Amino acid sequence: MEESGLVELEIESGGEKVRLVRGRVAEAATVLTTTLPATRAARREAETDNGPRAITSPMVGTFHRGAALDAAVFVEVGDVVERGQALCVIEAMKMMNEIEAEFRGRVVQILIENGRPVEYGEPLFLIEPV
Amino acid sequence: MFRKILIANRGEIALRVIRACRELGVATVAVCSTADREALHARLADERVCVGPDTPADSYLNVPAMLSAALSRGADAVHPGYGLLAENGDFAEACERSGLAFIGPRVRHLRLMGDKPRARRIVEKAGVHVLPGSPEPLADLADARAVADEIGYPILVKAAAGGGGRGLGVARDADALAAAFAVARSEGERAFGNNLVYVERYLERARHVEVQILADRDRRIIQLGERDCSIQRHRQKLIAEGPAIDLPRGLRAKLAAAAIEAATAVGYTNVGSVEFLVGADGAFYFIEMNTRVQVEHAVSEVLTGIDLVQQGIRAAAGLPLDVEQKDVVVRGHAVECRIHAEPSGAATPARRTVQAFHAPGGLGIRVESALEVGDVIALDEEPLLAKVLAHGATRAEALGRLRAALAELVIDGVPTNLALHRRVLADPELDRGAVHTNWLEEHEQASRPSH
Repeated sequence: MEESGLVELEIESGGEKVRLVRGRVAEAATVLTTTLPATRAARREAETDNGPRAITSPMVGTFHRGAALDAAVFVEVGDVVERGQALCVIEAMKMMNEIEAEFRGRVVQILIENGRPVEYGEPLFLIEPV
Repeated sequence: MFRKILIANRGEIALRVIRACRELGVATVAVCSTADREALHARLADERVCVGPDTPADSYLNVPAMLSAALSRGADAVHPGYGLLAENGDFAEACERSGLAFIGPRVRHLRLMGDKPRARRIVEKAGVHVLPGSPEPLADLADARAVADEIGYPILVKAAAGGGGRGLGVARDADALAAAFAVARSEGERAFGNNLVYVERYLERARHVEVQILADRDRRIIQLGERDCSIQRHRQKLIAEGPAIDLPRGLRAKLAAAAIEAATAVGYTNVGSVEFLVGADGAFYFIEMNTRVQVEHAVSEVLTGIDLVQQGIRAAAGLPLDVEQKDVVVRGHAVECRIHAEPSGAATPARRTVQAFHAPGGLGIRVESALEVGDVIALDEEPLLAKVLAHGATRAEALGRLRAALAELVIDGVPTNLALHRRVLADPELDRGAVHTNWLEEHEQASRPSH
């Protein structure tokens, strides 16, 4: 992408859509703490049927609340998001991967701090379906 | 020295690397699949990153996830352990391109030694004997027959892309060659997507002896003596011991020199081992070079007192070896058993849970294992559950300690090869002397209980 000068690239194949947005490479986080308690709490809450559901990270990378490190954030707690609306970006291997809401709902909690590394399957948001 | 190392592996070797890093004062990042979040290696490391779901291709073999995990956690090096991505030149190259040091040899060494015919040619050029065989992989049976007629039967037929005992067969005549050739082709195609086959002379009752190599980036190459891994089942190593006993006079020094020559010929760096087959007549032939820390590395460690994992990390960081050849002294005798899970009949569930685990200990005993009660073991992968090593002043002392240790070892809930190990160690012929690659097969046939 860097070579081609592309800023944004969307690939659709077999019903799956990936959008790549070129952005600044984030600095490695200097302070790292474990996310385990948040993850566990999120899982417990995610298990209930009617309550908020967790949106989990589909990949290992760095969590960005906006398109780039210091860009405006996509969503805030209390926002109602539509299905397909961008929630955050996971930066992996210098690629910015947009994560979209899987259903319409209200953002109850943002579980990860901006710029923090996330692992596969790690809950990022709690969203209550509306 | 590195600040933080990501260990791209699991099980006992991940623990081994984490422990070495702790001693060196280097921070560690473990990777895991969703099934291994609470595994010992994931808990013992300073940080843990789940890299994918419970299918190796999506987690432990997932190169982008490994790199992303290393980069997002600020690691500056990756240790691949053995198996998985350890001998994958593309992975090593991707690490280097991402600014991560790959703890192992250079990318070109992985590629060269992974290309068996090319490795053979280079080693042969350096003056080390290789088994007579087809110089290039063969696509058709007529070519295989021509090579076999030239070098004589029995012939070993191998899938060119094979490994770990898969896609291998022995042919004693032309008819058997046709059958073995077809099997190797289809197994190679099925398991590795490559149907090329090559053939070489099959040495019966040979010994498998490998020399441990250690090299820094300034071309200092030393050897840490040899290991005899002749006790094999289905061509997989079961027991390793060092030093090799009853070698013909002068052979130990020749093997060591040949290993150094092979490593020097390719400008090798880091930890590696050079494998040889030694014929009953004392002639020896290069088989291959393992470009990684081996499962059996601990045998050489207890014999020499040199920490191979730490030395490999140092070498990858560009530090010189802190041991010279003249300081390498092999003391006493060491024997290692590889305790694997194994499938036990079609009715067995594919996964079993460990109900009890007790590891032996005591003077001269070393156990390397990441096993814990509650672990779920996939039997068809025949995973390594534990390595049990015994070290003694003499071979008799080491074998005695190992017998006592295996008598004490408990792994409940999972079928293992522990009974086989106990049977082998109880065999008085083992005490008498040297073993060979057909030894176990012959003994299992002789001692099979009749129903």
